[in-house]
Amino acid sequence: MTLPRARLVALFIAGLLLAQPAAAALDPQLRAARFEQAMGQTGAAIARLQVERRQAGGASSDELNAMLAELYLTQGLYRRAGEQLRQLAKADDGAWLRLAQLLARAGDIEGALQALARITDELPPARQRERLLLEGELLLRRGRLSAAEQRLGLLLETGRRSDEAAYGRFDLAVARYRGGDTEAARELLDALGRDSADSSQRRALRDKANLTLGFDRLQAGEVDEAADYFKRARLNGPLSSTALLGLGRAYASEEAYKKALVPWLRLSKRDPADPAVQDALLAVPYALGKLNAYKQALQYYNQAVGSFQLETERLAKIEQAVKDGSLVQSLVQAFGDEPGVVGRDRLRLLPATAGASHLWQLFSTNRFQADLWNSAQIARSLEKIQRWTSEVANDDSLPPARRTALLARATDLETRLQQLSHQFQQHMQDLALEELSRRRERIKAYAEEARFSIAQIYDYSAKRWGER
Amino acid sequence: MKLRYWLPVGALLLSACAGEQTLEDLGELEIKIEDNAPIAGARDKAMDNYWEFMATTAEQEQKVEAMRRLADLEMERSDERFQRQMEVLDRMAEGEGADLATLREVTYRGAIKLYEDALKVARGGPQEPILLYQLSKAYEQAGRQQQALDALQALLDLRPDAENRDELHFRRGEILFDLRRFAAAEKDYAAVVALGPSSTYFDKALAKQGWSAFKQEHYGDALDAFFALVDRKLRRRDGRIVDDDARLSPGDRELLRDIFRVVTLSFKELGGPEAIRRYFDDKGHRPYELRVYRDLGDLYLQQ
Repeated sequence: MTLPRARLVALFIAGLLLAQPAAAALDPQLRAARFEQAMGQTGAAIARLQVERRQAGGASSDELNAMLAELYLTQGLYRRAGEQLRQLAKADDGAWLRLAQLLARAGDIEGALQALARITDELPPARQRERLLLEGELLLRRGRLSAAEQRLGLLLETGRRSDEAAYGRFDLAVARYRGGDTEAARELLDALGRDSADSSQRRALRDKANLTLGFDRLQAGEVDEAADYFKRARLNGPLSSTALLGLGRAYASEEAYKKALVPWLRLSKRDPADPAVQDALLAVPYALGKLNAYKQALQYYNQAVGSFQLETERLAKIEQAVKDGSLVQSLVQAFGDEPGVVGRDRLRLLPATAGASHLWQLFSTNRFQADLWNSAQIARSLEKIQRWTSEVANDDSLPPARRTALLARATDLETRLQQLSHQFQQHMQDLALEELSRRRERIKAYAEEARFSIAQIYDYSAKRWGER
Repeated sequence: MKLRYWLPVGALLLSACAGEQTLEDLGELEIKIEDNAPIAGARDKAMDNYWEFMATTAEQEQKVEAMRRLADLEMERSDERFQRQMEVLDRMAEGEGADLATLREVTYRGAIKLYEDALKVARGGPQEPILLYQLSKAYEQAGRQQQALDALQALLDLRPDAENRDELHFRRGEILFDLRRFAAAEKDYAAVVALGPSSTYFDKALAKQGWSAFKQEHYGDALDAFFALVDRKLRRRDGRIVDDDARLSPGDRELLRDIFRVVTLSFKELGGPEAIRRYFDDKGHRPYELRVYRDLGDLYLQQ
């Protein structure tokens, strides 16, 4: 006879909590809420504290309000968390930072900056770096360049080798570029582009720096320099498609079409849902046309038309899956618990979303993630209500009038949650349909371009060799 | 010994493991470029594809471009057809076969229709000028001179500062001259001359301006234009005008011979040697005056 694993974990966590000296001083309700939080029952913990606060009238303790704020933060309920934190005589600086991060993710830049301004003491080093990076980025987005540079400069002083400092260096380069100091910006990016750190994030940042420099140099007409920067990017990194496209453009800009074909051909064999690949599908025959290889150009233009046709059909299928709700539903079920992780690779795990690679960038946005997470929360609440309704309905010990009242309340709550769930899902569907519509229009335009180019290729051939 | 062979392989393996591949490692072009491979029936296929594209696209600018190229290709075909028909006509006895005007009209009808349709769609757009230009040429080929004139005028109205306005005025002048509308032709030739000697049409326009005036019996104006051209042709680099055409090309020498012939006729109409004297007294003396007197004398002798 063994205890279930979940119960063992619960007991272990409960033991830890009870053993904490600080916990000993906690109000029993707070201790119970902390236990529920540790068990992953954050909703129950919040409900407990809300009841406790209501019962205490206006005299709820700072500890209770702080914990409630913390719980709101973990749930992403940043507005409520903010209200709660502001009621505290002295809120935890870490909580203000977390609130700022949530507000920033929700797009409330001013709110995030105000939350950061409430931090009074020096944070632990790692959190301090997060704070400086966030503040620098927010100030940059607000166009307050010198203030952004000051924060980011401070960040670089405090932790030169950290990931935050690397991101800070990139942001600082952006600030300097916008401020007109392009030379300093390029120096920073060049250093980042040579970064030897090996984490996946740092390698992605290195690629980003090199690509930024590549496109900057390409725009300035410095083709050789541009090509050198593009060549530094990884061949299989997340930005490699853009890099391949950029390298081809650099060569094509000096009419070195044979050289341009090398990256473009490589790119054209990748997933045609990727806009960069769609560009390559047209760029390859364009280059062949420029090289007077008209027969080969035709062959690749025809391939492009075929690919665009297939993508259009795939888009129609995805659109159908979005409209009937199955795509969003499967996303909520699979990823609702894990905001921020719906990447392109993970979509393969979802059979119902075959072809959803058109939407992975949308899925990764903050607004979509927030909807996804909220939908999952609501789905869980609905499950609980349904379980609870069933228990109430079968509980013979309850007086009939009380049971009827409870069931009525449950039904009301269920209806409201379902409405809310519908709103979130509808919003996600609308976003997805908008994105799909943009994609469809783009592919349609590209397909037209290819068809027009096919006629032109025959035309050029007739001009060159006459009518045979 | 063995180790010596293995070392480079090991080093290569190590370097491959050391880091991910970058775009530097892309390698060579995987395909062979075949730049000398004509496509059979390319023009017909181009036309088929332009037709298909034009019929289905909603993209206005490309649609017009497809229509324009379609019309250009149809024009090419019409030119070839017309040449073949001319060859056939040349082999026929006089009076046999269709008359030339009808042949032209029928041959270019298709191309003209395509240009006109394209123009309807392109009104107000960036391709309107090129379409008007091509349409004017198609009208000319078809012998529809008045419509050619109208198209050229519409183009000049649309783009009064067009870079090729010298050509446009010259072509109008030529059509008007053919239609014996000499006063109007003179104006268009004058418009070319007003643009200055940098135009490749300047000399021809001066000559035809003179001829247009001559045909209207405006001999004084004709002489002004003819002598302006003679001066240009006989002027040396140091600015001096000489009575020596030895340095000129055969074409220019032929041109001057024609000019002096009509100059002689003009002075004859104005009263002979006295008119020559009066003209050069008024307009300035030239080193080649003697030639003018001599040519007039020769004419009198011939008569």
